[in-house]
Amino acid sequence: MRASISWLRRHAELPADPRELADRLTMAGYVVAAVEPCGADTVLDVEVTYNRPDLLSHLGIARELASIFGTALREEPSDLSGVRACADHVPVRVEAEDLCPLYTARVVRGVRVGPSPAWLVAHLEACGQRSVNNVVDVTNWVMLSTGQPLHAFDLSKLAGPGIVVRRAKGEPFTAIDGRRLDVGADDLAICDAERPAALAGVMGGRESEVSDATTDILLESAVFRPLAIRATSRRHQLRSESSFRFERFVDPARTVRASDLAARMFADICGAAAVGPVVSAGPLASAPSAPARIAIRTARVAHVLGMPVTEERIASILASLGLRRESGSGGVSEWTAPTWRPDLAEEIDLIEEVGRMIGFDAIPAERSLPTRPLVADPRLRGLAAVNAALVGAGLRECVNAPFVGAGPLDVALLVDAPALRVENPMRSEESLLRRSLVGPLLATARRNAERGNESVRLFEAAPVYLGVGGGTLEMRLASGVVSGSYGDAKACVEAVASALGFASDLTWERGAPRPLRAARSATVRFGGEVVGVLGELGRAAVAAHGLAGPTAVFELRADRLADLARLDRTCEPVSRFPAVERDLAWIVDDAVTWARIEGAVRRGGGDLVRGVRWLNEYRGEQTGAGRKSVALRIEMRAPDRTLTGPEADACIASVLGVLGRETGGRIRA
Amino acid sequence: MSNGTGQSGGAAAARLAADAEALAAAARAEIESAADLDALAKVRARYAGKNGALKELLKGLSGLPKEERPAAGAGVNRIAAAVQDALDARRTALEAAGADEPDDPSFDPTLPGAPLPRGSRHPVSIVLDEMRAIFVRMGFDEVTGPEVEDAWHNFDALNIPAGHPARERTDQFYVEGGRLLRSQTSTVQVRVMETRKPPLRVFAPGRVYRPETVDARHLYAFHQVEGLVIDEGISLADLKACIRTFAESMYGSGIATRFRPHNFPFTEVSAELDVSCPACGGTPTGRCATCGGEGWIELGGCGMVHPRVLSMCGIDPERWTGFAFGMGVERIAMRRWALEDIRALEENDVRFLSQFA
Ligand SMILES: [Zn+2]
Repeated sequence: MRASISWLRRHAELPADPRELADRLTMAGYVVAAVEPCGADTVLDVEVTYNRPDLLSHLGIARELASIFGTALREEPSDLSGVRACADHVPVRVEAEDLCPLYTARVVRGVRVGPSPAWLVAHLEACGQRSVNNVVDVTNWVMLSTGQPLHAFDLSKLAGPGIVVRRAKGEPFTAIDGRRLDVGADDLAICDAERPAALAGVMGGRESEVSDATTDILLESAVFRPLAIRATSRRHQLRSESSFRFERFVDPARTVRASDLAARMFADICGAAAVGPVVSAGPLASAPSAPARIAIRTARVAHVLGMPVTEERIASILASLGLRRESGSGGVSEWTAPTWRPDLAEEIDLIEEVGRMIGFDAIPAERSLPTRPLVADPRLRGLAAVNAALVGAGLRECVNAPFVGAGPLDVALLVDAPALRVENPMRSEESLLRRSLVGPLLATARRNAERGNESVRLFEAAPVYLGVGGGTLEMRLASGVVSGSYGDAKACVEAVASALGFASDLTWERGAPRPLRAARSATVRFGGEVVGVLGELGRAAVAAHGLAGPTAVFELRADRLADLARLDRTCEPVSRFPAVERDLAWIVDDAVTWARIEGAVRRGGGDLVRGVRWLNEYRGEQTGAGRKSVALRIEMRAPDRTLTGPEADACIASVLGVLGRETGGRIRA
Repeated sequence: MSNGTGQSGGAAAARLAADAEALAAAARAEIESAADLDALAKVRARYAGKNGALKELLKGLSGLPKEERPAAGAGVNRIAAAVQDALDARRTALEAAGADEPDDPSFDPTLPGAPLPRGSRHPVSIVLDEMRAIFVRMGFDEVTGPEVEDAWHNFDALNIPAGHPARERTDQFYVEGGRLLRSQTSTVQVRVMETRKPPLRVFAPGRVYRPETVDARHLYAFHQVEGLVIDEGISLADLKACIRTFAESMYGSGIATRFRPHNFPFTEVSAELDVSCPACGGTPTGRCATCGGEGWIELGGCGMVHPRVLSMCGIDPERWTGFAFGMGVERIAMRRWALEDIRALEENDVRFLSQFA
């Protein structure tokens, strides 16, 4: 709301320095975004919060300032004494009572349409409005003064006999700005006997517009329901100062007063010959709503604000804001809020007003919350450990937007459930919520490749979303994209597993969903539960995703891993006795995995085997087709003594026995 | 070489011994003056090497009478061994002094180190971790909630009734099935109040979504940290104290906080929260890039939890009062690293990310 300081001064004595007005308004809750000179005047650009529709007027802002500075408030005189009255009127009927609580209209005869006086033009310009003619300018001035939007019809252009406020029925309507609209049952229209003459609260119609030839006008001052106005304004993309106010709140108790103020000005400024009576319709015309009583307890004010405020101070603040004291005794007083303050409905609203007017600066800030024991959530600790492990493994964390389009980036690796659709995405390629972090990570890798960052090691830890059984399944994952092979991705997963304390509990099964290569991927389980997948992208996928070279990815159920994490595990002492190491080469079928070989070695060697290391693999003449020779190193150690040669030999003999039985291989000579 | 020409055998042995002593003395002098291992190696070759002077001396033994040879040989060998010891001692001394290697002009100490993959946290995570650490020190429990929410938690329970403009599609991402991406982390407040009994002291970091046009200052997916305290006797004074403690922990004890009344549906008394500009200290000279010359920067919004919100969550607002606050993480990160375009936080360009580790 742009407020002219000279206009505000019509209502209250105010300090001379515009900066002071701006600062005090800001600290009362209404940020003054700019203080701009405008001719001899100065304009404040006030940010009005949604709960204060009354501040969309000079009267409202002046009232706030008068309360802040403790000065008296003056209203514009609106009495019609001395203005010639006539009995002419137009009947009004409100059909859509749910959308229009109050409609008033009055006839004004014999106006002389022409230019406005300079002060009026200056006021409008200060508020960013262009002068049209004196009749239209008066309606706009009254709106900016009081907050009540008005509309003036050229009475001669309206088809008799009266005005009907009703839903439109698929009729054409040409707005003042010349736009032709089809208005329907969702739009509230002000209609003459034949057609809509205005789109209620939003914009007048071209046909009944006030022109230089106009002599008689019908002045509308009404209240429309915010939702109806907002819907119409959005639907037709018509916004006006009127619709902006109706979308919030217009005070029905002051609708007639605004009409009177305008009528007085039509007489004074536009030379109106006679003014007719106000004709009202709508539910509030016959039964104005009674204001509710609000009780405020002095002790409660102190309780909420954290400082005592005297009953007298509370009373003077509330009175200065226009509240009326109805009764009071024993630390409780009852008030009725002014009709222009729909935001004041209960005790806390009044307490806020007291706090605001005292100033939040005056409230002490020396207290402190008591200390308390705090046990970290194990899930959150686990998630933090996953992140730390991945950073430690040399990956850079990314934060990607969670949207993907239908297509190659809509990857589903861990759970194959449908993606959730965003109904109003910003872009069509962002119409789905990601089911995997890998899709957006691949897009990030591509963007990096396009910018010359060819080798990447990236991860993200975030939730993904799936539609499951009509509901939403949200899972926290940790996923990565690394330039390189399966082994590069597996090292990252192993780093996480090691940090969480279960390096040896994971099992790795061949194969994972596309776009991972079936022959270079794995599904990771903990117990029977799938906790991750990893693998290389195929050549086609690398090309399709615009990646610079061979790329591997992993995706982990970070939430489950965090739950399973053994963060408080105990440690094992290191043996002081030397280890005996033996290397051997074992020839087996290609299909026998290292995990099976290692397991057989550990089972065969029992507790003495403290480590089994894969050294290398060899395929060739000595192994024969379809077979491999796996070189491994076995570390044997006893916790309480130095192992003897014969003990180590016996251990290896047992290892070879189990290896032979379980893997069907033989030792390489 | 002459043979049996009447030389006195005893005299020859004595001369041999004298030669050996002289040689040893010369060798010791050279050994002591050898400045580095290279020089020492040359001394070693000259005296103790295969064709060194001491070896040559031993050849002289053949000119001695047979019976004198063992004694003379033992004498020369003793002297040779002493030279050898002196050589070894000097080498040890030179090595200890660090002269084990001659200078190598091809060595370049400025070459990059061996490649080591370096990981890093995202700047948003770095800021979140800092905020997390502060709130934990202040006794706040970390809590989380879903990002795909229902209208109850995102609106109704936060006192944003049907028809409120905040519920419009221009302000929310709606997801099929009547759900939406949460537009504020206050949803987590509601979930905590619904499931836990007061007293409560929690903070909820997380991502929120609003369909804003992306520009240098706006993303439509960004992060917030929300805080909630509910207890008996909690007041606006506690809120001010709590925020001040946080701001001083985050920015240093010189920072000032300012509370401007504002309007939020789920708090009443509500305020916007400013801190004095950490860049110019709140007294900008000219146009400060961080605060735009205002002296203050907006940190977030806060207020006393609306009694209606407490009631809707089954908490008696007469007995319990509380406060809540919310802060934007990206804005804090931008100011922290003087980042001018917020979009860098979502592009994840490795050249950008690598500045954070
Ligand atoms: Zn500054």
